[in-house]
Amino acid sequence: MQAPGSMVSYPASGGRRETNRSTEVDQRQTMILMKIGNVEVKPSIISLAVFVVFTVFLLVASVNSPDVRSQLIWLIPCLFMLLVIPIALNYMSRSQYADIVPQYEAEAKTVRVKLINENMIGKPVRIEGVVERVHFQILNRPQYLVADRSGAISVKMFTSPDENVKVNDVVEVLGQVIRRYVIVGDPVINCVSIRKIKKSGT
Amino acid sequence: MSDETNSPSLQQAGSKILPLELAVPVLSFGGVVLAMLFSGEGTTIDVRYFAVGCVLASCILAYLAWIRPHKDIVALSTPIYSFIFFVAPSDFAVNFVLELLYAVSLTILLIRLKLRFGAASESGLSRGKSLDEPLKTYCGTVRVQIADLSPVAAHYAAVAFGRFAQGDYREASLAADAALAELAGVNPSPALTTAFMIVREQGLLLEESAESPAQFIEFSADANNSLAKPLPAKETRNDRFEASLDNALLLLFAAAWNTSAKDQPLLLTGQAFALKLFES
Repeated sequence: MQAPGSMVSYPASGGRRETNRSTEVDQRQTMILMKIGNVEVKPSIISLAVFVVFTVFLLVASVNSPDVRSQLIWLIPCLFMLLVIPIALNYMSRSQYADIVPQYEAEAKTVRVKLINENMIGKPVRIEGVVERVHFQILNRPQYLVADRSGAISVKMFTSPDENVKVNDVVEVLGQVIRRYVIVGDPVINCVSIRKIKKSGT
Repeated sequence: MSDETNSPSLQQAGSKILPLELAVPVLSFGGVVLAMLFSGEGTTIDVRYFAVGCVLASCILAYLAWIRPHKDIVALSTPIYSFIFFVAPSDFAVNFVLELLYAVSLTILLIRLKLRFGAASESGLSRGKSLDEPLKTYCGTVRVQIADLSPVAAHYAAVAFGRFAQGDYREASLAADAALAELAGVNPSPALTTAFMIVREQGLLLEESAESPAQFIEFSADANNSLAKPLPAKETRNDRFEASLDNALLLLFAAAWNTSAKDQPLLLTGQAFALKLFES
């Protein structure tokens, strides 16, 4: 059993390399995971990269400048805040989503995409379909375009999903119908859970 | 069912939109031209005031973006940018170049709005106040075919449609059930009775998140004249299942619209859903 807070790093599963219609770079992604209690925390690549870059800056600056070395006592904690804060926010959002998923599973109805309309704003829904596009996955704010036989709809998620969902995956989406721009726009799904229900290409 | 694309309501909408679309480049570039004309020595007008042309043009562009079903956030936010760019006083040359570039940007955004977010005839200028095509034509067709519907049954049809649009499938099924009880022994239209039965059946299936059954209620070939969409081929079970529901909901909408005037505001809130069913 994994100890809380331990780091696990592994390459994403291979499978057949699909033609990727997302905005992501078409390469194998390494997912960095932590587990805090029962919650898997997935900091975004961007926040990790920011931490690494500023660590390098700090190292170089502290080697070259005695003034910087004298300030390390507060610079180092600030540097770790660049890592700790995104991790904490991710933990909070993922634990909150994990808490509300059972409620959505109890209340949501499985509907065809075509039936989702403006009059259903605020309603929990479940859809099943194929992922046609993926955007902003590296920002931990993924947006998917999920299509079933009757149509396609945007699915927006405001935290990292449990699974690494790619184009052509068949997924089940659980979420709430909202307006695209909060108060205006066409209906989209504010996703609380997206799960693969079939492997793509395998 | 005729395919009228030049109905009076659409023509009125188009005639209102075209001047607005033309006003965007006219006002924005007009301000630039006036600034050039009045920039000579001896003029007493501060030419920076002509930036108001760009500001007005951006407000009109935002309005044109607002009335479309699919909103363009870029065009919607242009008034904010115009305020940011032109509220602070600056040198004439800087202001002139800024106005010119902004006028070009607004024109490009207008073209983008028309190309990516629908043509003028698809705008929602009249949506919310009256029926849009092809729904309007379909309601006219149904009015001729279902003439003796009781107001109570028409109200139940409106409720069933409205509740279905809102995702309250159990309530939609109950309304359909009540309508069937009302129509028992009267039967103004076999197609309408079938429509209520389809809404009742599929509403219950959706409420329980159940799979589509192997056997389900669907319209007979005789009902073709009353339906908004043609019946799919017999071999395509899933298509028939979905088309049955689409046709049933549209028939209920039309029947309710024609008979129950007091439910028309409710039906108008679901017009976008009805049009989506029509066009899918």
